Amino acid sequence: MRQPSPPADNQAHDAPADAPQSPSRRQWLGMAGALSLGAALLPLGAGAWAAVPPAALPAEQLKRFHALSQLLTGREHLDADLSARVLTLLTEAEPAFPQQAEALGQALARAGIAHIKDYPGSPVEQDATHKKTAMAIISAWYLGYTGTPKSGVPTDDTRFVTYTGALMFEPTADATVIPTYARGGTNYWQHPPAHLAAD
Amino acid sequence: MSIQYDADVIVIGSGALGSNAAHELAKAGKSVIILEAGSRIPRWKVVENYRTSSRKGNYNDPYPNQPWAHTSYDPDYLENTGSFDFRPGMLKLVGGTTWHWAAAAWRYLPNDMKLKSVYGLGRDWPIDYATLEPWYQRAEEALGVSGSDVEDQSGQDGGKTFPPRSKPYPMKPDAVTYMNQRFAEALEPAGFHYIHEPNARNTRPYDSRPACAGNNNCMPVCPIGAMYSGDTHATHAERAGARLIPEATAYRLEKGAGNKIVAVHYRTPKGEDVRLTARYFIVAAHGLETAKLLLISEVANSSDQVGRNLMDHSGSGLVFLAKEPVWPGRGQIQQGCFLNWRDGEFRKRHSAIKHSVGNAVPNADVTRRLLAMGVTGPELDRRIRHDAARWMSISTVYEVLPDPGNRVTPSSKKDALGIPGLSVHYNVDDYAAAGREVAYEDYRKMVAAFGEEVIEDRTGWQNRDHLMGTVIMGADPKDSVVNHECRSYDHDNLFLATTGVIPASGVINPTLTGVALSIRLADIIRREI
Repeated sequence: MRQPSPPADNQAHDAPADAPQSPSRRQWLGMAGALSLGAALLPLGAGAWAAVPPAALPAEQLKRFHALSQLLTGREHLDADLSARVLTLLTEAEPAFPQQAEALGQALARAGIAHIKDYPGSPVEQDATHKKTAMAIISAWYLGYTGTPKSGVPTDDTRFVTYTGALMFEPTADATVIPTYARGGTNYWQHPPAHLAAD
Repeated sequence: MSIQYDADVIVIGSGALGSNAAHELAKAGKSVIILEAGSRIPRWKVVENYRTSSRKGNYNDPYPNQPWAHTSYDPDYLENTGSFDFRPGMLKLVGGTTWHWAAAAWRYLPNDMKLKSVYGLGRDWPIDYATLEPWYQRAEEALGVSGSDVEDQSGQDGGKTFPPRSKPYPMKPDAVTYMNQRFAEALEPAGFHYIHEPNARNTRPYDSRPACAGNNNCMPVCPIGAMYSGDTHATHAERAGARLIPEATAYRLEKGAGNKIVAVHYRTPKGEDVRLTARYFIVAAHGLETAKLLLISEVANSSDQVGRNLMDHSGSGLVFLAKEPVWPGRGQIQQGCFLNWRDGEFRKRHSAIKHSVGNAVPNADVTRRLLAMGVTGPELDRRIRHDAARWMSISTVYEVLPDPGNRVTPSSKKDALGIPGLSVHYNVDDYAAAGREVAYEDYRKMVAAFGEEVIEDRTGWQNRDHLMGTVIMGADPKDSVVNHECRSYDHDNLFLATTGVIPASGVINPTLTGVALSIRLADIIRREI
């Protein structure tokens, strides 16, 4: 279960608030200034992100992992701080993960895979160990957490990576909100998105 | 010599029901103390907790879970001994569990309240719909309910407003989502009638809260407070003069002369014990906790029914991909239903059924499924968009019947204050199981009319978090805990403000009814003090 905290302030989660990447996020920050207020009032817990800052990771290892993440997600624009967080959390869950990630990166290079579109059906994907490593990395970036959620219990092995930066929201960003954020105002929902015919 | 009291009325529990009762009494000039086991948390903090949670499907996660005020998701606090893991998403904080409901605010039908006399099953309510109607109206005005004034909410498309209303809804319904327009059109030929779900979510600014802007996060927290939650009336009660004491867990109701309840004892997180006296007591501590408090206090149980007859609307679900893009996730997380099986002769054979259409942004479910299938790269992005535009999620609930064997009792395990936790024994009955077979046929029809691919149509029984029956209301003190006023048959100054009084479950979310009964019992107490 979550560590008991003093009664006066029990609501700090392990991770800090999210990286400001989306326009909606920036807007919200601009409007309310609430994140800085939140960060000031919420004491950071003893989570991995706080306990192991990105600087603790060897720069070269981090650089390679960032490049691996870019390849596996098919995205150039990934946040380097989030790369560090993904690497830290996956290593925390599996101590051999850094070696597995290095091995995956080398296997992709050997197979001449420079883009994720060439990965499906490749020998690298057909290798169960490499596939597991690749999916763990892709999953963290798309879902914004590591681990496996369990329902109806207070704890599980999941760890927070990002919310508004989760890649799963990118393909639908023009049609639906990232929950808790808003667009359009009351009753905008009676009309379909403008691009419906192309969907 | 007159007796001195700490308050006219002490309310145990600051959720929607307790806070509405407290507010009515404080407005009338009575001195009121509200005890709340949990803490007071501002909305922005819950929102930040949600945004930084790694388990966003866990609706209790952004809320406190304290060693001295556990949520229901703590397996050591709520244990199960029956065939079903009965685990409603109960919270403990100022405002209670309506912090994360979806705000469906239905009225029962007249026949729901006469189940035994009309269909020969279960139990009748000791009051009828017409008696309760004025308080339904007041509850809708308190919560700020938007709804249709013209629909037949029995789901039969009877062409007239039903159940009857004395006044219009406080707010007009919101516009039907594009998804629900298309789904309803497709199902109409198969005989399904789409019904707007009345809900406590603003469609215009109301009671100092804004109109819904479609933040699509009614559960686990509305970030802007457009959706009603019990903290609204906790605050209203305080402003009307009530004293709210958070982090005060009631653990004993004390009996005195004349079978009156004379005091409540509560314990703080530091282990300090406090005794407070009052003329009247209202226990409004959630359907499970209210029964537990009565049992550990050894009060109000001459009928031996306290904790028994536990009912949820045990549920099931259907997920499928629509045959065309409809884009769920635009608007609130739910807004309409199919209620063809809400009332009729069939209730002699199987449970009533409600199908709600979900409207949550589905990206997490969609993406988890695709990742499990090993989809990657540009195809993953393409499929996320394709499937998210077509993700249809139906949440079905079934009526259940009161069974004294389904019950909550104090657990042998204790919390950090030394107070027992909850032990639940629950089996889903054959009546609901017979209803589920009918729902499966509906699922087939829905997919045939609008589907491309079934994702899941046999979920097993699911929790629906609608607590009923545990302090059952009835006309006979031998088999009932409270009378039609929600007054204990054993202690005439003890009232129970909880959906746990509901003796016949129907298929509608019971909170509005609980608030109506709470305002009504406050009126009764106000007249007697």
